[in-house]
Amino acid sequence: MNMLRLTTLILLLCSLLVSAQERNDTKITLEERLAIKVEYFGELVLHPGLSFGSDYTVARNRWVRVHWNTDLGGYWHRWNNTSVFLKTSIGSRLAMGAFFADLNLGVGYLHLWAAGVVYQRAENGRVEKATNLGHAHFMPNASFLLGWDGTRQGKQLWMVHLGPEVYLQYPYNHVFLPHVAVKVGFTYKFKQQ
Amino acid sequence: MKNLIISTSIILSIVLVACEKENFFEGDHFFVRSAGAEMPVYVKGNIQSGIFILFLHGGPGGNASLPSFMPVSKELEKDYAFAYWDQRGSGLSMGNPDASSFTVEQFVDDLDLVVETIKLRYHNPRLIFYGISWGGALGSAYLSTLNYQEKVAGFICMDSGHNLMVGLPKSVEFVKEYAQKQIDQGIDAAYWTEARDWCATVPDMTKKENYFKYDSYLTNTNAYRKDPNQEVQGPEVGALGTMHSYLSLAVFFNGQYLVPRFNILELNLSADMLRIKTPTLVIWGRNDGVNTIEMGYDAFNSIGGPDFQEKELVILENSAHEGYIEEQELFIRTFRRFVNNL
Repeated sequence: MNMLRLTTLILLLCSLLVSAQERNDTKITLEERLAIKVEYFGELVLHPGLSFGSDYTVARNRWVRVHWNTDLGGYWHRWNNTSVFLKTSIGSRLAMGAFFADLNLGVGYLHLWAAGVVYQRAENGRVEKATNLGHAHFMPNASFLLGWDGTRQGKQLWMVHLGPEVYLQYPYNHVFLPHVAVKVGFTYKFKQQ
Repeated sequence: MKNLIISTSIILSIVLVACEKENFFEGDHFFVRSAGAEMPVYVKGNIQSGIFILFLHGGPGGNASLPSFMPVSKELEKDYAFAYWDQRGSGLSMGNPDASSFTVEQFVDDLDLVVETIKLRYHNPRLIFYGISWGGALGSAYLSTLNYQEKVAGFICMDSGHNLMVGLPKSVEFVKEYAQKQIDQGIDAAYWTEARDWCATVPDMTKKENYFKYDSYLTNTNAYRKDPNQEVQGPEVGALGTMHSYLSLAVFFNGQYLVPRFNILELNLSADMLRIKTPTLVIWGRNDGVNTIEMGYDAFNSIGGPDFQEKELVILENSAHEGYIEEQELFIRTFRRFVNNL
């Protein structure tokens, strides 16, 4: 919990810092703010998944960019479950030359289906196949990404990133079930900033 | 930038291909849904044999998922199909069952659903229960309920916790004796003196707080493994295996809700077990400190009553609670002999 508080505090401080500085910045257009991204989303690294999303710059200065992400994706845990998620997060991206470190905190919705035939007791006492509607879960998440931003070095419109995401699945037998995923992604900016 | 994209693509391809390269699960699987829980059943081994061993895991709150990766399981799977069922609130079982469903009756009902589903899905195979610890108690509860035992051809009851009212005080005595030995040998004397003196108060083991205190002492004894330094073959699945297989972190975090809410401390099935007329192998570690050998005799004497002949007691002389790995070869031999003679 202390780590969560610390992370929230860092994000908040970065946001305030950038927000304060951006007031004097030249106005940036929607095209400059918006980027789209695609990621490999490997739950426990090797349970494969994909995620698509947007990356919207809320505020920025020379070193820090505060961005708002929205992601739609899913993954397949063979023999166990198939999941889709929709999540949103706010992040602070600290640049060091063309490289950056990105800290994100967010919430999301996770829907998980048992990856197999489900049986249940029928009204007549026998066994029948059940409809598999899946389970709804709350999905708080945090990620720490390292990456390379081509826009800071010239004409490139691409960024790449790699890093872990930790998220929780609730409810799961009344506990917050932790998950770890590895993300490898590309982000495409419509226009250089 | 171009090189970076190429390198990343290669790494990504390797990761994706690696997913398919090794199989950490060969077999079939399905789920059963009951009273708020969605529970996986993984079926491995020789399905063609027509003999299904339904593994009843311990705990409560343990799992069948990890034991399915035990070398002993893999060896026996050559001969029989093994069905590994994760009980409600345990292992990889999903859903969000209410605490009110944590009753022995509900677990028995879940088990019957698993039994019926196996019979439906695999065209009525011969079904044998193999229950360890709490799993042995669950098997006993099932077989002594209604006419359920007609569905089961055999029962392997190992180190079962079928009568905790009588069994737990005996285990407390085991802790006390172990503590005294440690004190005599000058090993961590302060801790073990505290443990011995607490056990000497003859705590009421039907109270949860006493149970958890006793359990914290018990785990530091050799109640589970006669020789804790013995090299045994545990589950053959490491971090990489977990990432390749059906396993998830749920195995380690599930059960946190169930364990404090499923109270079986007043469980006493001995009288009910007189009704069991299913051929049974009672197999027990001589040095078991969790469910002591006296409870092994109690299980053997209770099942079917004194006149019931189709039962056998095998004592693993050099084992505690984990005889399946402590005396693996003897265990496998005994298991096969019992099942093949059914």
